[in-house]
Amino acid sequence: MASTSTLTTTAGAGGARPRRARWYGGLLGSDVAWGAAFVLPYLAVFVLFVIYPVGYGLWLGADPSSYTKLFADPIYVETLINTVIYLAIGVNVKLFLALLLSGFFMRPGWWVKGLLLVFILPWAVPAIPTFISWHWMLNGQWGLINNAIWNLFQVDGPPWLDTAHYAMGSVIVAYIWKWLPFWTVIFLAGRMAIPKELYEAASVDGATGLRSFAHVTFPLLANLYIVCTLLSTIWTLGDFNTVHFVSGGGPALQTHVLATLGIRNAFELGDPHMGMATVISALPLLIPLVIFLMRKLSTGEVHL
Amino acid sequence: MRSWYRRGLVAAFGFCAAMAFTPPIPAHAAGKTVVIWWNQGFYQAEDQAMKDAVAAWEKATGDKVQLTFTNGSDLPAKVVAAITTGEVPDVIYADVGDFVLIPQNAWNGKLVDVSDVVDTQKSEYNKAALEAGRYYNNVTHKRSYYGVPLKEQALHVEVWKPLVEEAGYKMSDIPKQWDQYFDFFEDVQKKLRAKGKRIYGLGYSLATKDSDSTYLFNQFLVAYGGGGIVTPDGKLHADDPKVREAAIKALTKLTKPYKEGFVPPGAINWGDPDNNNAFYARQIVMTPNATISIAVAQMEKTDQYMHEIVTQQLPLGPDGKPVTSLVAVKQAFIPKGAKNVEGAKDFLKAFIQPKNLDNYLKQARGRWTPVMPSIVKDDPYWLDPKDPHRHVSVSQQVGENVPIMPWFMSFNPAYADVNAEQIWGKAEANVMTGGMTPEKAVDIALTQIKADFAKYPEPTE
Repeated sequence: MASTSTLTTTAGAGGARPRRARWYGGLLGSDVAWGAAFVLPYLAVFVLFVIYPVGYGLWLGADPSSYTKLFADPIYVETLINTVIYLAIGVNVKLFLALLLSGFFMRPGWWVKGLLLVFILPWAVPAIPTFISWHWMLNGQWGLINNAIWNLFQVDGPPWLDTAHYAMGSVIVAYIWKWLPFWTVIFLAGRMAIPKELYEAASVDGATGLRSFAHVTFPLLANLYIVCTLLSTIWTLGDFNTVHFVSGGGPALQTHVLATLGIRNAFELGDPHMGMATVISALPLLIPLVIFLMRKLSTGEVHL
Repeated sequence: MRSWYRRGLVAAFGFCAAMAFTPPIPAHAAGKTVVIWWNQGFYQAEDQAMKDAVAAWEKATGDKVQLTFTNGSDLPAKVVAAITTGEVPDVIYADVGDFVLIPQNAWNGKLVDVSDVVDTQKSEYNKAALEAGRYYNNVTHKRSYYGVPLKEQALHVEVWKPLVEEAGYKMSDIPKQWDQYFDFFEDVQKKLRAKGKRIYGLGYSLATKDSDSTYLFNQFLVAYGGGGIVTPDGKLHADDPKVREAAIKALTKLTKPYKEGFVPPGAINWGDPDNNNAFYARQIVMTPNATISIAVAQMEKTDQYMHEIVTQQLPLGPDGKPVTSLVAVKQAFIPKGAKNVEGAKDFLKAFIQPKNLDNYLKQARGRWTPVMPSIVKDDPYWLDPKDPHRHVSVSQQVGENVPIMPWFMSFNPAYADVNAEQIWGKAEANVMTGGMTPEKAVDIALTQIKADFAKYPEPTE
């Protein structure tokens, strides 16, 4: 109530903008209570399900001895390298293919639309059963692929999940297969937003085909591409399912990424502190990515 | 009217927000309910037997039980999270509890002493079960019972009789001594391959995940004379030449056939169900497995269960003497912070009465073996010769002069870390795909094991 009288007095004295009014966003009287009533539930949910878990996680990972143990673990270094490879190859190959495929799906014709429908299926089906299917399909002895190779040629097929390089390759291929449709649709939407007049004008100037892509499409999609790359990198950094269900981190713990190693350390080794330390060790990569993404989005450059 | 409406709305929002912050009232607040987290069984009847045991106890005491079954692969994470946050149930039973949950938490003083529960049946338990349930508590600096033994398992060998016969052998041709026994299956593979079959002789689990490969290596270690790697006083004997030699022999015996093509290449990445699946697919002639679950799962297929799948005990050791079986004793425990410790203990005391335990274990179709010799003696079910698998498994683990020993984690929790970190599995991989010699791989493993033991100072009572 005191604040209300102060506001009235100040306003009456000279019309200068009151400090408290600015603090409340210009709301007066019961409007403040209304605002609080609407905000409070969301605030409660945010505190309960965001602030508290994140804070608790940071607290779990705050013990310096966890990092000493983690950095001394030879599997950790291997995992860091795997994570970088997984991000660098998985994200970039996926987005580049998505960009190319989005061009194909811009083509007219009913069969292209039908094909798009089929193409989207891997993304539409639930992730865990599909990755488990990949795991079974790639099994060296009784998997679909190697069984077919044996039946056709009487030779053993490649050890898809039995050597580190093959297993990491299998994980990356499964990851690309799963997420390629989603990003293709994003780029397809981006392409569809480019005005046709621009292509017509370019065509008049002699830019068709690859030159049209280089001088019209790519410059206009460049910002979208960068934002997609950043988003996809952030999401993929936390991707647990692909590695866990396709290779299981094997063979010999050689295909773990930070997300799966964190779970292993927390629950298989029974050390939640080290598990959190593993995940937190990704922050030096994650935070700059998020900041860069925020800056990209706030500058409003993601316009076609 | 409008103002009244606004105030009401604001109050409602406030109430909802307050409710969001209010912790839920636990079901056992009255102290009359026991909250139990139990590993889901392999068979529905196993879970039903547990429900029946709970219902009988509820009826007898008038107390209530809140029973939750959780899949065995999900339960450890749930328990670790519960103990970390302090929101724990009153009783926990997890199949892998003796491997990854009980030893470290007992050491850290996070479990309730259950000596008074175990004492009620102390004369009934076998020696290994009693040794397995005792752990060192580094807070009180003494050993005590922190696990209530319920059942046990040991490594057996499952063999496809038709495949042995297809190779031109009889089951009686299988040698009885360790090295010759396992070498025999390499010959079986050669004969089957000559007939164009894509079959492997040996179904060894050689992975760095789950527990089958851990079980296999450690049983081989014991067979070659390395059972003294950790002694019951909790001391590590990594520098004992006998232990090193046994480890080298075990590692060589397991990895050489892999490199020579007698083990499926995928075995380097097998989880616990994978050797079962390979066996069912008849892609391996034999596989060592810690329970008779492979056979029992085929019980409805009478031909397979009764005539084709053969369960064999471990062969005689390399020295011609019976091999000591490593038995994993499965235990229930009570975490500190449990709201109804008395109720939990009362339930467990009732549950481990031989008759009750017998009823429960029978519903698992003999997959688990009793930890009380009297159960086997008094109930003909366990040694019924009409069943081709159960009596083989039981007589390997229960009876007078049967050589068994508990796992090393009971002596020192550091060995639970050794298993969880898959140190021996990594050693196998170093030899199989890393080009390392068994000697070097063993030395690296023993160095890592010493580092793990250094984290758990020598128990001093």
